[in-house]
Amino acid sequence: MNGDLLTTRAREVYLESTERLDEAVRAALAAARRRALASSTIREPEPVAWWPVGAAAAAVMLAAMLWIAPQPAPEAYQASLDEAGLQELMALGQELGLGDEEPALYAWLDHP
Amino acid sequence: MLRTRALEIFLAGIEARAFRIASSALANEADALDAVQEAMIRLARRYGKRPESEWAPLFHRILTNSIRDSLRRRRVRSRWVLPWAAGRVDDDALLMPDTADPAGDALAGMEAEEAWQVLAAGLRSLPDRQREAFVLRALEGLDVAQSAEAMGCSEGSVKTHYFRAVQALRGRLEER
Repeated sequence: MNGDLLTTRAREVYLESTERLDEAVRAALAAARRRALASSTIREPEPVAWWPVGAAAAAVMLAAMLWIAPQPAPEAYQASLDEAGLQELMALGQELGLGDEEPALYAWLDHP
Repeated sequence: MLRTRALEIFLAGIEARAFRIASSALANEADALDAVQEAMIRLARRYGKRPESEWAPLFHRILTNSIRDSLRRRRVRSRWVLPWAAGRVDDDALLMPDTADPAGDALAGMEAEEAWQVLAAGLRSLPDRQREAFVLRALEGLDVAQSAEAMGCSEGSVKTHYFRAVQALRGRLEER
């Protein structure tokens, strides 16, 4: 028997032998497999279980950001009034004819 | 779930072959089942997270070590306990080849179960490293690199052990 024939036949005999295991051995192997899987350290990802937690955390963060959002500073408000609002007010005053009134009518305001 | 399922499929696919490998070395069903279970549990606990392509060589390495440990314990026990234990079976006798049935082309002319018993006896007659190299290379179909990883030795050692195993096994079977 040459080496190639030996290894080929040996492999055939080996693989065939695995199909003839008796039921007791098969059951013992299946039990061993279950024990091995039960002791496995594999942790599967569970996206469905975690998404409500993530959504709740995002909602809390959004509420906190809105609650503590900084109000416009007075300086900034004044600056915006100085630059754009003042011109708008002057334009409105001209439209109402405020500049045409007699200044002497308001002299009593300076000297009550 | 997918990874656990993949591991279950892997173990289910290899467990019968692993049992045959262990039983061919240990010649004892209970010891073989223990060795296979130990290998399964160690793989699942320690290497379940590793890529699936690494499971086969890792499993064979664990199984090989498990069989070696079992044989080592048996040899120590037979050396120190059994000689004084009357009526006990000498476990080393289980490792001796059965050469009572001479035949030219032994494996080819036998029924399947008988052929397996002859092959298993022939494997048990080999030194441990030669048996491991033959099992991994010829029976399991691992390449030299995978076999070296499973045996924990160099690729050159695998080639040497395998060559000697084929020569010895051929001689053993031709005696039958």
